Amino acid sequence: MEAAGSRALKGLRILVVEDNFMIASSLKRMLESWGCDVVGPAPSVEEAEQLADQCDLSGGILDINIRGGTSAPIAERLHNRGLPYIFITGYSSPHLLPDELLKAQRLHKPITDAVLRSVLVEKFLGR
Amino acid sequence: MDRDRDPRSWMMRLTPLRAAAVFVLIGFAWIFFSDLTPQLLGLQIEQERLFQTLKGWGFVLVMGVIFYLLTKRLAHITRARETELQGLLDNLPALISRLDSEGRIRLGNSRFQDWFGHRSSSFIGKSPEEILGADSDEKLKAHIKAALAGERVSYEFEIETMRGRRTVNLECAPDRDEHGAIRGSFMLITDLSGQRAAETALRETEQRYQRLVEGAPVGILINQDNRFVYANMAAAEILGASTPDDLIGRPALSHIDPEFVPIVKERIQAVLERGESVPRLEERFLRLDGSPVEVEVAASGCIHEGRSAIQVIIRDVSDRVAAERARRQSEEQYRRIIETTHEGVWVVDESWRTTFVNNRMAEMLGYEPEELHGRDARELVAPEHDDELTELIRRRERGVAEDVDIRLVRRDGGIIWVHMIASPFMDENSEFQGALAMVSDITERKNAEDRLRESEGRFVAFMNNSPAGAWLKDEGGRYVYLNKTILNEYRLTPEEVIGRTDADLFPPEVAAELKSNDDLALSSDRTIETQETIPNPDGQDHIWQILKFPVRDIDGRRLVGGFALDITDQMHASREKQRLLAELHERVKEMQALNRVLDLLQDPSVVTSQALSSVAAVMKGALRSPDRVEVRVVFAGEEHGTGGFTVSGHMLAAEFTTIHGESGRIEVVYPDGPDPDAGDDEFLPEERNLLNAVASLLRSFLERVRASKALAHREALYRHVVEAQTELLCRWKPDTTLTFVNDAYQRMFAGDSGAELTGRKWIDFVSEETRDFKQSMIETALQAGPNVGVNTYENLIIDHAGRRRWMQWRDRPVFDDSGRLVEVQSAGRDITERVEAENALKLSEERFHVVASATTDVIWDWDLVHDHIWWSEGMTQLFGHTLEEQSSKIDWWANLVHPEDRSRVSASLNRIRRSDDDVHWSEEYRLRRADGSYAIVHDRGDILRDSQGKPIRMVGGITDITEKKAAERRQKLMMQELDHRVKNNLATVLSIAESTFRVSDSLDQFAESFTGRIRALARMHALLAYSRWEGISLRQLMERTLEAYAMNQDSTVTIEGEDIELSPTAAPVLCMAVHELATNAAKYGSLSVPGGRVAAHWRIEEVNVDNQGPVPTFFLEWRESDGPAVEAPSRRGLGSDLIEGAVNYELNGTVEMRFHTEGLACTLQAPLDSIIPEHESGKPAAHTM
Repeated sequence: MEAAGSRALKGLRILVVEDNFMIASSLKRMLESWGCDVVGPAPSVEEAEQLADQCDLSGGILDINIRGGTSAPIAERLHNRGLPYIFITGYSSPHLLPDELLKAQRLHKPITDAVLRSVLVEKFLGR
Repeated sequence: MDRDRDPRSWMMRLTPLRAAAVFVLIGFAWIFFSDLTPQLLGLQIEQERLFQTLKGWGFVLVMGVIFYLLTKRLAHITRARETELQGLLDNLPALISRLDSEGRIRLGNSRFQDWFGHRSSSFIGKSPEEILGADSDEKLKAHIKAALAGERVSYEFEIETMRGRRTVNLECAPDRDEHGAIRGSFMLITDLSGQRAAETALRETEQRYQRLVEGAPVGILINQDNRFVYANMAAAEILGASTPDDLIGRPALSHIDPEFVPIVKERIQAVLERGESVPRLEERFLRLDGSPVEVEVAASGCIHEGRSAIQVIIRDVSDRVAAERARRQSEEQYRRIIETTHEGVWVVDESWRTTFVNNRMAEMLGYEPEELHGRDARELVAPEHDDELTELIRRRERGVAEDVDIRLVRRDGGIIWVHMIASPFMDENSEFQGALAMVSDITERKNAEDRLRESEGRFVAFMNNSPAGAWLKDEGGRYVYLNKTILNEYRLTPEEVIGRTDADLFPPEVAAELKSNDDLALSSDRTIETQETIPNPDGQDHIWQILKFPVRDIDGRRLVGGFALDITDQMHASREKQRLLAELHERVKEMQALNRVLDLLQDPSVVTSQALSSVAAVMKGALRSPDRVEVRVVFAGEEHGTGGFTVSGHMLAAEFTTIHGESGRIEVVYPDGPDPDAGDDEFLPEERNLLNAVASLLRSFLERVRASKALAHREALYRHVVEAQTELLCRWKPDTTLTFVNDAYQRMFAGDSGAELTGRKWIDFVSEETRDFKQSMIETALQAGPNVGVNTYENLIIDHAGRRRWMQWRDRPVFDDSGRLVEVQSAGRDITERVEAENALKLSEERFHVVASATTDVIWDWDLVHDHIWWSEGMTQLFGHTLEEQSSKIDWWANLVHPEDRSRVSASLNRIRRSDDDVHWSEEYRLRRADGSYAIVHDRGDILRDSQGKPIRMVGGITDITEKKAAERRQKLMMQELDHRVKNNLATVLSIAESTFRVSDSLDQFAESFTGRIRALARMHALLAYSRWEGISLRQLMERTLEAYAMNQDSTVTIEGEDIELSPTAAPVLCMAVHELATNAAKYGSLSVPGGRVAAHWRIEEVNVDNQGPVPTFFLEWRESDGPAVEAPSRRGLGSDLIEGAVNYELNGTVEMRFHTEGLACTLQAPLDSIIPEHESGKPAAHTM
């Protein structure tokens, strides 16, 4: 099952937005181990916006609090492009997000690979 | 009468029976006469047969003629009838028609043509619905059908006519024949349009009238059969009813004050019988509770429900009547003052024409008051004042009130001196409207003053020519007068000396001596003789023989006079000295005598005999040889000519006469005859003058005695008026002894006991708590003196039955001519009910205010009826809104509420105000402080309702909960932040573990590296927690991280750089970087051998960045030396990856590693902005240690 899931994720181009280097690196490694192409990771709003606008993407994993603000504008860009995205956050209560983004899936740190994988399968592949 | 000429009349009466009878009679007569005629004529047979034949033809002919006439007549009648009927129908305003049993029109009037343009030929035979229009078809048919079935029907509908759309009423009734069978129907259509319009107009007018009446600001009542059958709201209010219904049915006369009932009855009669409307009249009505109310009433006849009634219009004029009464009272008082005053009163208009003078004023000028009316006041001023008059007039017209002494011309040409207190009247534009002057005749005083001045003038002339120096100083030692002798001696001008003291002129020790002698003279009140040594301007000491004596000047000030002779050269010439001294004594005496006369002038109230004897004494004292002289004052009795002096040998006499004819005489006599040796054989001119002055003084005194008698007379008159008053009136002496009380006063304090109140002190009737107050009122009156007006105050008294009553008193103090308070006239009114009500209110308000100021909240009290809100002090203390800026309108508060909260808060307020039973209101909202910031407040209040449930008041309080809210929010944020950081840290730890594990060759190696990294992180967190997550000192971070290595004595770690506060995101990165560098150094670098050195230095420099110009940049230099030989590592370890990756990724910086032979050199570089907390951005933190 795990293998099936991993295979299914192969070739997805995923934008990673996370301002902590360590977390971003391990997230990147995790995704790459499943065969995904990681776009980024981007630590700041500015960089992430640029990537979200310009790159060919399958979806995004967004840390809510990043350098320069929140990732709400990035989520909005992805949303406008019709792309799926999930938030990861250390916050338990969603007080920073605009209402329309509250509907999006949120993962709480620390993230385990099993959870991340199943969420990606569900959200990005629609299974 | 016309019956004979009307062809129809006899035809009408021709019934079938009568016609038959006529025929029978005619036939009978015919047969009878035709049968008899041949016999009577004696005709032959042939002749008779011919006759018979002719008779037959004749009969036929006659009958034919009769028949023709009859038929013609009948036809004529029928036609006339029809025309008449048609005319009648055509003139009806309604459409009328007859329908046959088929429902077709058989007959119709000309309305068919007017309304539908149908001629009679065109509608006959048609059905009504064809004519009236399609939309009425069905109903109309049904109605006609019903009519044909024998019903009477009526209904309204609208039709289109040639004159437009009309509302009509259609009536159908069956047409029955004589047997009652229905043979058709009648249809009547009436145009109702006009009627409807009129009805609508009428209804509107009625409504308008009704609304007008109901809402009229004047009371409107309808009185029918002496009962109110209608009242509007205003009338109900005026008569104290809560609704007009309360008045309906009440007897009208029961609401009229009995005093007015007769006149009201008369007015009712006038309205009802003569249909007149009666003029406005002020009457006193009685309210429902029986209290009186002053109203203005107009009444007129009207028809109410078909019967005549009276429409009464009333207007509440209580205020006006009360105001008028008050004004009348004040006028009365004013008039009394004017009448009783001893002063003249003179009023002029804006062009100085006299509009009023009182009797006294007229008397002064020798006119009747009427004669002065319209006289230009300026003409009456004596020509001597021509020069100053223009200025006086100008000052008055500019609004200046002042006292003026001026001469007026009497009618007889005589001149009087008056003292005039003139006050101009100015209108609101400060335009001069006229002036009032209170005038007192001071002719006598002026004359006396003139004489005194003359005498003084002489005195001054003498002084200036005396060899002795003379001067006057006031109590403060300031010179007020110096004679020429002394001025010349000291080469001074009056300007240099007047107003200055000896201390200003002479050396201190000299001045001190002079001063002590002056004081001695003043305090001992007698003449003292001294010798003083005073240096002259050349510096030579001069010895002066000086007499110092106390005197008073014309204004009553105490002065020290001095006479001085320079005796430096004549110390031994004693005879001369004696002579001069004697002269000095003379002058002093003269001066003192004048002084005593002045005293007398100022206090003319001394009793006659005393006055006379003191005058005698003064006279005597003023004379040269008092020991040998007798002074007698003789008053009333002997005749002594007509004034002036008589000098007869050894007697000098002056007489004085009052205008009452009372006369007296002063004589100065040498009883033993004059002694030429003593120089007293002749009276000096000065002595004569003195005598004359004294005589005139006495005259003035007697004048006043007379005036006071006149005053007493007037008082008796006014006593009558006083007795009639309902107010409590009394007169009392300054020690509160009553000298007069009226009936009302007697009743209040003695009841019916008849106890004598005069002679008692009213202060005994006053309740303890208001006694002090009263005493001070008396003192106030005493201090204020004659200018005080009416003094109003309230006190608490105990009446005859021991009840406590609040009284309001108006006191008018009465002063005698010398300004002494002789008595007070008081008028009192019982105001107990009012005061008690006020006190209860005040008490309750006070209690509320005490509570309000005791809390830290803002208490408010909102009068909903008048939209008046009161705020407690908290409004200022909590929110800074000062009393001046506060407003009692609710809008003021509403504007302070945050715009986003305003509609919510006002909606909930409105809801509770409209609600029937909700009492509590409470809201949280933002309220603007005076400084513009917003406070979060909790506001709650209770609504108070009257007995009808109408909200009348809201009382509540505002609590500032800004702090509480902020604390709550901070706590919530902290919890979230902590949660966030813990989770982020766990994620970081997991990542570190995972990365470390990936590159570790063994579990031991993993454990070592991982533990080291986690420890470094933990140290950093300790610092972070210590700084409350707000920022970390870079120096502390370096010290903590390198602590373990620095403690190693074999190696040297130096840390250098200005301290910087690091942001919570940058701290872990730098911490990890330094930790990795140190770990590597300990393993492979300079810290791995004894003697190795590490220098960690940092600095901030501006670096030029493309497109951004100079950017402050943080540099951390890590230099290793004295370590083992260095070679570049074959593969990059996790450590350097971590350092470079994190610095680059999180701090947007770079890490450069150079492996020199002497040791590793690492440069970490990052924009300053990315490592310091956000609020520090733009200004590099630079606190040195």
